[in-house]
Amino acid sequence: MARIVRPMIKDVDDLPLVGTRAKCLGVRPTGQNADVDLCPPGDVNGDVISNDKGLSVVDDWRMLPGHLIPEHLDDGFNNARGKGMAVFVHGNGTGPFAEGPVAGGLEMIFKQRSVSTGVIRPVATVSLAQYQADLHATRANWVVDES
Amino acid sequence: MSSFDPTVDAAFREYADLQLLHHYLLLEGKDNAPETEAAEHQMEGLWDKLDAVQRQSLNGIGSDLNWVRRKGEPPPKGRKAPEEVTPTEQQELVAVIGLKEWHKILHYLRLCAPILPPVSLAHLRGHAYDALGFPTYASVFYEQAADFDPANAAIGVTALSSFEKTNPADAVRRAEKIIAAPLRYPPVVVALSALIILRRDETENRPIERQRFSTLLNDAIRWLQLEPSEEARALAYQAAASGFEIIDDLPAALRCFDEGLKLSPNNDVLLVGKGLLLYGSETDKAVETFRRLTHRATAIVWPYVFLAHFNLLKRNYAGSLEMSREAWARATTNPVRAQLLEWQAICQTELHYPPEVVRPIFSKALSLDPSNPWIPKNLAAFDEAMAVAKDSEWQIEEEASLSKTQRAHRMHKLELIEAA
Repeated sequence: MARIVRPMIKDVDDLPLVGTRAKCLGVRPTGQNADVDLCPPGDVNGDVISNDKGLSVVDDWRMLPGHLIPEHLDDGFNNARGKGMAVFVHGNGTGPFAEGPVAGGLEMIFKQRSVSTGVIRPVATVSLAQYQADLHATRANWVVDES
Repeated sequence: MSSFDPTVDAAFREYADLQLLHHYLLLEGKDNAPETEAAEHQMEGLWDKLDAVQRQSLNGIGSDLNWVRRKGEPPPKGRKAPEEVTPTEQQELVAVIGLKEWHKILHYLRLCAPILPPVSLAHLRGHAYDALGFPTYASVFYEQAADFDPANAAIGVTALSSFEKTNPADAVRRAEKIIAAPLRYPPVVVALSALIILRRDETENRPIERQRFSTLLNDAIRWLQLEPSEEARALAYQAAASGFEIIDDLPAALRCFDEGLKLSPNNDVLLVGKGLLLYGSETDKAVETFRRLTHRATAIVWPYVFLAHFNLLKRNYAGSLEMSREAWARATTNPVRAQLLEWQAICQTELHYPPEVVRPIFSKALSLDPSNPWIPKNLAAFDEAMAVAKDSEWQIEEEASLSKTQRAHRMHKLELIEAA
C-alpha cells in the first residue's frame, strides 16, 4: 500500500479531527479556499465533480509549508508551526507514493506536474455528502507516523 | 550563487509577506480565524511556484519567527545545548559574517543559536534581515531584542527607528507600551517614544495631552543624568526638544537643544533643530547656525532651505538661488521641491530671466504640491506682472510662519532616523 501522508489536527482519541476546515479530515466544499468543484457550483447539496481536486496528500511531510507541519516538529529550520496537529499516514502504508485506490469510493491521483503530491478524490462524481462520508470512513485507518 | 541564496522574486517576497502576516495572526491567537486560513491558502498556492532553495530559505525565515513566538526558547526538535554546536560551525559563522553573506549568516545563526545570548541572536537576525532588504522582518527581531533587554538604550532606539521606517503604526504601538511603564526603559527610549506619539497626534490633528507629555519629557531629562552613553544623551535631548516643540514649550525645547549641544557640539541634527527653533524669533542666530552647517556641506536639507528663504526675503536673489540648488540636491519630498522651485522662479524673475524660462518652473512647482497656497498666488502675480509689464508683487511666507509650516515635513523622519 502506498505511503500517503497528511498532517491533520489531532482529535482527542488521537485520530484525525473530522471537519470541513483546513487541516481536518474532510474537504472545504465552498468559499475561496474550497478543495473541490461542486455541481451546481457552490451548492452543498450538489455533487462533487471527480477532477484534479480533493483532499491534499503528500509523500513526505518535510516538503510541506510550515503551517502544515505540526509545531512540535520544529527543528529550527523547517518552520513547523501547525498547532494541535500530527502527521498521519493512511493505512500504515510503506509502499511508494503512487496513484491508485485508497478506500471505498476514493482514489489518489497526483497533482499536476508532481509525483510527490496528490489528492484523494471520489472515483466518480458523487454527492458531496457521500464524498465526505467516504473520507470520514477512513478515519480509523490514519495512524500517527512522524518519521 | 550558493545553495543558501534564494532567488528573491515576486513569489518569494509575497510568500515572505504572508508568512509574516501569519506570524502576527498566530501571535494574536487567531490560529483558526478566517484570515489565517486565507493566508495559509495563499501560501499553499505560492508554495508550488517556489524552487527548493527558495522553500528552504523561507522555511528557515519562518523558523526564526517561530523562535520569536516562543520568546527565544529553542525549537522542540532542534539544538538546545551549546555543546551541540561544533567549533567548525562557530568558525563558519564568524567567516560568513565577515563576508556579509546574509542568507548564509541566517543559516549559521540557526545552527549556532544555543551558544548565542537571545538578545544578541535577535539583534543579529534583525541586522541580517535589514541587510537583505526585509526591513519588516528586521523590525520583528529588533523588537524582540529590545524586549529581551529593555534597559539597553541602543537596542531600544534601534527597535523604534526600525518601526518608524517600516510601519509607523507599529512604532506608535511600541511607543505606547514604553510610555506606559517609563521607568523600565532608558530615558532616550522614553523620549523617543513620547516624540513618536506626539508626532502622530500632531500629524493626525489629534488632541495633544500637553501636561502628560511635558511631565514625561521632563522626567526623562532628569533621568538622563544616569545615562552613561553620551550619544544616547544627545539623542534624548534631541527627541525631547522636538517633543517640547510640539507641545509648544519652546523654552524647554531650546534648553534641550543647548544641553544636547554641550554634549555633542557638532551634532548636525541638534544644530539644525536649534536653528529651526530660533528662525523667526532670533533669526540672525539661526542664520549663523545654518551657515556653519552649509559651510561644512551638511547632508540635511533644512539649512539650505531656510537660507534660500532668508536670502529671498533679503532680496539676495543670487544667494537664494544658490541655496535653492543645494537644497534641491538634498530634497526628498515633493512639498519641499515645490517650495524650492517656487522660490527659484521668483529669484529668476527678479534676475530678469525670460518669462518662458520662469513660467514652467512655477507650473512644475504647482504640479509637485497643489496644496501649497503660496505657489498659485505667486504664479498669478507673475502672470499679472508679465501682462502689464510691472514688477511682481510676491507673497512670501514670513520667517516664523515658514518655520512652523515646514515642521510637518521635517518632523516625520528627520531627527530619529538620521541620528540613530
